[in-house]
Amino acid sequence: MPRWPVPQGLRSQIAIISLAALAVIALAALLIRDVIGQTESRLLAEARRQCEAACRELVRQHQERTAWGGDALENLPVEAQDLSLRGLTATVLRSYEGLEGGFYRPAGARVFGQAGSSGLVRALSPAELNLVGAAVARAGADPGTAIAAWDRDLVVAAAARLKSGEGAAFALKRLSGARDPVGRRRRWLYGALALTAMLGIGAVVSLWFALRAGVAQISAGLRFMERDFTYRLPAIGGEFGRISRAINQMADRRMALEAGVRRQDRLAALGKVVAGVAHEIRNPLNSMRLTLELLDRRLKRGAASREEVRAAIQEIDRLDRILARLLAFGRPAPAERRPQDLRPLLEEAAQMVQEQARTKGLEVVIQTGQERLVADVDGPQIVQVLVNLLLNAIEASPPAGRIEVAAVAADGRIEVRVSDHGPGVPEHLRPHIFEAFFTTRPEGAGLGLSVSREIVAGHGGELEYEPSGVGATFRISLPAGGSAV
Amino acid sequence: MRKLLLCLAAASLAAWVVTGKERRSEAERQQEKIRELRKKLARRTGLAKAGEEQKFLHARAAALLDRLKPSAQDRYVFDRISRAAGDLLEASEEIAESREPEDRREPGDREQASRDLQRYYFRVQQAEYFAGLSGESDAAEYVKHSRALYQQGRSAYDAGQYRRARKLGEAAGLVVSALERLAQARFSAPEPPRLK
Repeated sequence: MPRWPVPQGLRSQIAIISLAALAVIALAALLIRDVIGQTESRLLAEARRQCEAACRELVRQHQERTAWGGDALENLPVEAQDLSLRGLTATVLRSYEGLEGGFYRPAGARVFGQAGSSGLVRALSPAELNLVGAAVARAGADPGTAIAAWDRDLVVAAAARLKSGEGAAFALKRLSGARDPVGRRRRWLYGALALTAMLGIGAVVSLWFALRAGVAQISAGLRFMERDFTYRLPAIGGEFGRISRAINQMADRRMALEAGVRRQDRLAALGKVVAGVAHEIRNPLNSMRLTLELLDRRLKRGAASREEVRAAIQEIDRLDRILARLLAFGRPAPAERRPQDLRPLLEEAAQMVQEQARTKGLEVVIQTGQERLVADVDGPQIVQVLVNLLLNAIEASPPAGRIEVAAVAADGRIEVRVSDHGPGVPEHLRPHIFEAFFTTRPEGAGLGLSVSREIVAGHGGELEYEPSGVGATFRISLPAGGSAV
Repeated sequence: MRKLLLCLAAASLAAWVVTGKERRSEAERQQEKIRELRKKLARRTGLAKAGEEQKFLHARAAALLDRLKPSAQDRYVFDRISRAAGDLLEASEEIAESREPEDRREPGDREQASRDLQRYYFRVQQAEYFAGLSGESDAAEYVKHSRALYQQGRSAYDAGQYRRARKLGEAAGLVVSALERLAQARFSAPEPPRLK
């Protein structure tokens, strides 16, 4: 079954509703006009039918009167003729409500025997007399009719020729206000329709603005919330008020949940830190204890040497380094950033690991293009990050291999990739490699990647592991900007 | 000048003599008409078994004949009133004839009676209109009797007495005609122009 395209946009839907409402109003106006037109037509048709029937009856009764053996009408004085014919007309028209009629003689356009169904007769106006004359002129075997409109009044006249051939019988109906039979009501209806249309349009426009304002208010509030999750949508009325209250409640609940999660994370992290620190410190301490016990035994024998003391000092130095890294992880030194080209930093980092690389027969290759690689960074911190990544790469690479350091600028960012040809990071370990104290090497502290990620994040950048077909690739993404000093 | 005056006087005298003769002959004709109608009335009233309608018709005809004043009245008015009286007496005659035995061999009797009654019905419908214009104090009685006569004629038609039905319908129509003539009598005929 085909699905009709339904507009999803609020604006389109409101436009469709408005058009539908306007169409309904236009159809109602047309319907009113049509009904009025039909009413007028029916009134005219009924009046015409009545007039024609009355004319036929007048002709018949006139014929009967003429055939009657009494006085011949034409031998009577005009007044007497008029009286007799009036009696005839009044009797005929008694069956036709609202009709007037009589007899018309074209010679001199005179009317005789005029009477009305109501008994009250108004003399024909010159215009009405002309109308009757027009109907008489159209009369043939069948009655002729003529219709005239004056202002809002319609007048229908019908005439039928007398059998004697002298003149005609006529009937006339005045339809007061028939031209627009419901004129006042029609104006009221049109006015009401126009008012309804205006109110409807006003309501739709008002609804549209209210919706737009509500959506804009909530959208702006949500944008604020993205930056400041403590922000809450303002209290507004109506449906949008309910929505904003629901959003605020959801944000409150989420904040509470996040606070709980963070607390649990902190506790978990603290547990890891404590475990890591204990592990890291226990090894040197054990080593120092063994060294010092050995030194103690040798001192008892009088065979102490400086080697044991030096070994103890080395273990103490190792402890100091571990504590220094811990301090750097907990309270990173404030960055001293300035716009600078990253190429010298890449070369410096490569230089620093050159000895370790040469020992393993590895080559560190730096690949950069012609584009500017300027970023607002703290040089030593970025060098520290690069050194950490290069040392990991040297560690993971097979002997006589190659390590690539590639830097490119794209889309307002500078991306540095450090790639090796080692086994790569197993997939199950990838979610944990940036966690503090996570390491796969027995002698590792597990702080290099986590500290590096903190440093890069402090520069507004990202440090991520990129899986590749061969080896491992770490990507540093930093915002480009500023001019190299 | 004197000759001219004498000529005028002679012409006036001749005209007076001529018109006087005409007036006398017209008055005589009117007297003759009155006598004729009175004789007719006497014949009708002399007959036995006059019904209610006939008594009314005779009384009204007598009253109308009493209103006729030869030479003192407009010829047109005399003509209308005398004809009205004649209609009433003729109606009485139709009523009397309606009582005669029915001749059922008359062809087309039923259809003719039907057509005639329709025409009389229309005339009876006009009675009230003419009664209003007739100025007669007992015009309503005319209407009542014309309707009663028509109703009797309609009953006779239902009974298959078509000749009687036609006679009674004719009587009803004549009563209405009398009313019509009386109404016409209220309008004086315009005087014919005189030679200057």
